[in-house]
Amino acid sequence: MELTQELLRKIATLSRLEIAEEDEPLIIEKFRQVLGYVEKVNQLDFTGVEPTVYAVDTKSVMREDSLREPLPRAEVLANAPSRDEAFFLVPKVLD
Amino acid sequence: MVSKIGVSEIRKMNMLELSAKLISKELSAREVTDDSLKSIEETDGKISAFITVCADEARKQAKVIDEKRARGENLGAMAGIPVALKDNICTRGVRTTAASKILGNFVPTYDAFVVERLKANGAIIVGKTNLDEFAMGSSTEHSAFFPTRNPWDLSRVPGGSSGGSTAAVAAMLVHGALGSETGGSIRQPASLCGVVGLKTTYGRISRYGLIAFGSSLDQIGPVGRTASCAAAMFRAACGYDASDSTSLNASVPSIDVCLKTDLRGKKIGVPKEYFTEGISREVEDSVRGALSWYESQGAEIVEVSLPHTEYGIACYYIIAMAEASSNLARYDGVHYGFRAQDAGKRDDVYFKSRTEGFGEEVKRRIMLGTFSLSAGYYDAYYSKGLKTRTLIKRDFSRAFEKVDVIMCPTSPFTAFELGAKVDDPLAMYLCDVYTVSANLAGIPAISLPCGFGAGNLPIGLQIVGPELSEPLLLAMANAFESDHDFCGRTPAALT
Repeated sequence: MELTQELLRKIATLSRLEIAEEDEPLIIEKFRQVLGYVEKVNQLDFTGVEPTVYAVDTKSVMREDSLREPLPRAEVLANAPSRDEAFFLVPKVLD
Repeated sequence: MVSKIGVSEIRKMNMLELSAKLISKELSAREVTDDSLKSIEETDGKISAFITVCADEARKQAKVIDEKRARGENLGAMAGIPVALKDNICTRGVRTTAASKILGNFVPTYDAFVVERLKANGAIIVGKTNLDEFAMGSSTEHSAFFPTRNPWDLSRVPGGSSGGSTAAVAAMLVHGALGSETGGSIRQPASLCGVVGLKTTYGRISRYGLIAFGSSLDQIGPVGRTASCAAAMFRAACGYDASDSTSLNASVPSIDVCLKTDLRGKKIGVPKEYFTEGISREVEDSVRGALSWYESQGAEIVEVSLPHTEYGIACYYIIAMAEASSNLARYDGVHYGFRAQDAGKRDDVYFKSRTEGFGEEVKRRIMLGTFSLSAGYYDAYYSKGLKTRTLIKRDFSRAFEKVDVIMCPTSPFTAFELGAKVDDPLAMYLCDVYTVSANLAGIPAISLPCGFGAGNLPIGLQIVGPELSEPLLLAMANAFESDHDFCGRTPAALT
């Protein structure tokens, strides 16, 4: 797989990250090393092999609905970078 | 009351001895806590194990324990014991950073399940320890704040990502700690710091309140100076939790079961794939020495094969990075955490906050994970990673049909110099070569000191068992350490 500058930029956008143009060659080089290594799995024969998402058997857990106190609003909002008494504040979304 | 026991004696005591002195009231929780805080003040300047020390909270907890004891109330098994928590475990009212700039000012509004459990057991939480940012690394150099140093040699790394927890325990700043694992982040630093670290069966300890990295792999686990310390912490931390949908409803084993076993007739598997090129001679010699000791006690050594071992690292990084990219999407600069100063538009809030807030290694993993999950590449990478995981899990299931446990090294080498691998991601990833498979298979594994190499650096033995075999692993570790003096030595930084 050839990791191009164009593909790197697409991945960065999907990841909501910015990359400075001068950093791109080194990032591409390191990504190629890692991808080259993990492509080792292509040597394996996966005929009849099912994927494992969780190694331990897990089942959906059902429980009765019950009322509980929510997290205290003031404490939760205290962690927000921008807020008023009741809301998270963000820059204007609609023009 | 003036204690007859000197400061250094408290610090050197193991957790069980200390607990006995607390129960007999020869020591108060306040004295023990003050001693731990003083040792952090004196020693941590050299090691940098702690991101946050919570002296006031710790003294308040100690006061409560002493008052309860004075009233004759029943106290938990860890009453008055000072412990530390890796700083990706949420503590109500105490800053929890995951060693990231993006969570630099984050103060959780709730305690993680394990924190509730430790507090209910009377443990005194004295501080939050350093880690590689979001637990992504094997040296603790990827912390956004500062690197932690190995107490055995300050020019070397403690391993990672739970390097702060293992260094704090090795330097005797606390009597136990919790770390977390995704691919070896408790066992590898435990090995490099000469302490005991346990990675439990997936689901054994609730992940509620653990800052997520790779959700199908993440587990919290104990770090102790000895197997008995790790056993006490394990018992305090485990148990069913309805808040974690993957929590196992398994009973908490008794302390006796965790410390005693008959080694006669135990079958120990030795995987031939773990003793190949890449392992240092001194590590191989120490581990083989430990195997001979178990054999001398009546255990049987059986060669086993884990044929997909060489694909472990590739499989692990595909899965862990994919899960990381998804988990770390929540850091958006809106609800909590860092927001870039100049984020004037909606998209700037996301792009600039994440770009400035995450470190290089975290960004690398988010991007590689995003790539492996993206349209056109999912089948080539992520899907193959999950299928490789099936093959690795199958290897272990077949091996455990023949043997009780598997023994091998924890790390191919002893602690390396700071800076030696930090700019070479692949070299850093290969540190986890002997540990990732247990995470992929969801099974428990322990690392315990089994010798010292050149420069007096600790070497770790790893014991891997089938699901829910933690008591056996702890008891086998306890048997070895009872007949050797590798645990509890004083590291160079303290002398």
